[in-house]
Amino acid sequence: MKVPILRTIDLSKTFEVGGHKVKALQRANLEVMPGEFIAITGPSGSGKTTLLSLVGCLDKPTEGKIILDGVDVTNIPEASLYKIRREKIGFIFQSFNLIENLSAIENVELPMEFSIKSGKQRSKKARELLDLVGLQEREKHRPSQLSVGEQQRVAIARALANGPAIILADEPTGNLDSETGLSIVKMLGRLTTDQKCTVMLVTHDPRVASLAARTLSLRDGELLQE
Amino acid sequence: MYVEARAFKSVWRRKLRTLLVSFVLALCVAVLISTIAGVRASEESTKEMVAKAEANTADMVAKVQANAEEMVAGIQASTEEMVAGIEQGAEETIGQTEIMSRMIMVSSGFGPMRGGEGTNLMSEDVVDDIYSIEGVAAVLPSLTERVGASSDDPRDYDYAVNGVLLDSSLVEGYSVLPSNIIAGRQIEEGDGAAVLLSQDLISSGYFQVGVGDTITLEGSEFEVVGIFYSTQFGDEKTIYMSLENAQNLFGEAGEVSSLQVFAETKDVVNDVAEAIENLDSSWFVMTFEDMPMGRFGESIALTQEQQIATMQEQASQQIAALRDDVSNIESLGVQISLVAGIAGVLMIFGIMFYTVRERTREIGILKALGFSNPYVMERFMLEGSYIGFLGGLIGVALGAVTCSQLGPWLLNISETTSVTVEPYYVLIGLGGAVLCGALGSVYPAWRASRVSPMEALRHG
Repeated sequence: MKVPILRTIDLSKTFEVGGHKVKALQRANLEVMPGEFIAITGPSGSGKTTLLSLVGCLDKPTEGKIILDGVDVTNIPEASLYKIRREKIGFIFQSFNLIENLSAIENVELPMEFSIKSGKQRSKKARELLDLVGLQEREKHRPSQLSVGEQQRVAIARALANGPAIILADEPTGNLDSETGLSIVKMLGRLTTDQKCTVMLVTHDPRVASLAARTLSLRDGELLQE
Repeated sequence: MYVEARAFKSVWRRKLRTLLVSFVLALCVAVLISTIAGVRASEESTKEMVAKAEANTADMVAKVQANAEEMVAGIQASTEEMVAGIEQGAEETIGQTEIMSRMIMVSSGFGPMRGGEGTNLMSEDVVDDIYSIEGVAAVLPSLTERVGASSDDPRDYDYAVNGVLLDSSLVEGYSVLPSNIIAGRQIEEGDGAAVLLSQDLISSGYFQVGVGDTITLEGSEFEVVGIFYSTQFGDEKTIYMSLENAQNLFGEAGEVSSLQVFAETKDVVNDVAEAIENLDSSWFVMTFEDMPMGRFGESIALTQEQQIATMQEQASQQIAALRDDVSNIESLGVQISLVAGIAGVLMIFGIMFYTVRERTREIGILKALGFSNPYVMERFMLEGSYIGFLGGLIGVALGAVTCSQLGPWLLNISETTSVTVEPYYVLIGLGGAVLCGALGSVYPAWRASRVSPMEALRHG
């Protein structure tokens, strides 16, 4: 019997805005199996990014639990949470979030700073990952010298750097044209089959969501099962 | 090691910002180094001036002491000679000492042998006044004038003319004239324009004459009837003549400069001296007992001590003022250094604070990728330290140039003192700059480490 790589139990998040409590996520229960490509859809403000931030250990839930790769990460203090993010999670952001003054290969090397001590081995691994996303010729280029599609591919390579348990992609096609966006999503799909990665993708684009193996919807903070 | 390399790369890749901050910090370091070097040079210069002042004082004190010792030695030698003469005379002339012990010297100024311009003279009429005092046996007036006196030094004159009463019968067994006649004869009453000349004035070449020759004094001619060998202090450049001749020669008829008063007995000497003092308190009255050189020596010693004390006090004041200057310079140096240091820290603080705000998104990315809070803090502090180090290097170079080129211009120091940058100033400059960088980065780095990755990625 397969054990879920990610499981949320009654996960809730409430924000306080101007003295009013806003329920961004309400009792979300979710299970993601290893190697699964799952899409979370929903309109703006439905709680997609909040869900991704919680399971990515970037934010703390108000209630509920998060079990990541068999570990309850809900109550791990912030001072130790960075290790979970480093070892278990790979992030892909809508705006790529590459560091501007680092080259493509340096951006990919960045998360491996603690996991691989040898600089040469780090570079070798980073080149392999850039090769995987088809950017072996662009390793010395700065983000500003790359197209938006290429930047997102560098972000994907960086997300894969430490062999994470799950890749969390927040609107990865949001800043891309539809053709490039689709190619990026297809690349993520291939990672689940070729690299046995688990990908959880958040999007409001139904065409993108349709490429995922499973789709869940969020409406006003409530997770609707497929 | 990786965090150091990352921090270095980050600083290196923001060249313009790094150079601008480093340059401003360099100005602070240059000010710091120049101040330290300037203060040190001023201290050295002042120490040199203090040493010179001390040496000058010691030199002046030594000169005063030597001068005084020379005078005292001369007086002592003269006294010894006089005492020896008196003793010898005592053997030869019974009662000579007794006569001397009855003598009282009276003069209108300090010292019986002084005369000339600036010395008050006494009217010859006082002789009768003194004779009217009970216990006075004889009064021998004299007029002494120094000729060719060119300074305040009482020994600095060409010759002295001493006009005395030639009547030796006034005090039995005593003559005011010198007794060591080595050529010719003693001058006597009724000799007219005759003089008795000191052998020293001939041996020095001032007068190239012998007994029977004529010398011209102040336009008047006098016959040299005798030459004497001087045995008394101050007598070596003296020409003796009659009181009347001396008064006429200097146009001071009826005036005298000193009196030798003889009491009837030794027992009344002090009473007579007191009575003379009562006649005119401005006179200088001295008994033979007062004459021994102890008194005069004491006076010289006292004057010398006062002079030395005054010089030492003045030198002490001068040295204290110089030391005050050094203290003030040091205090100013500390203040300037503090201001430079605080300015450096504040500048780094401002820049690093701005940098943290500017790079909030980058910090969020790093934290999302799994970088810990201590890593983020260390990285920003290292960046601040590297900027500080670079600023320190430029500042040390700038400080060295400033010290060597502008130091002598800006500082009032002696020519022998130079404003140099010692090796440890370089360490102070570099260390201070790195410390400024690290201190100025502490709070911004702490703020950076506290940035919420979620907030940073959302709003950064």
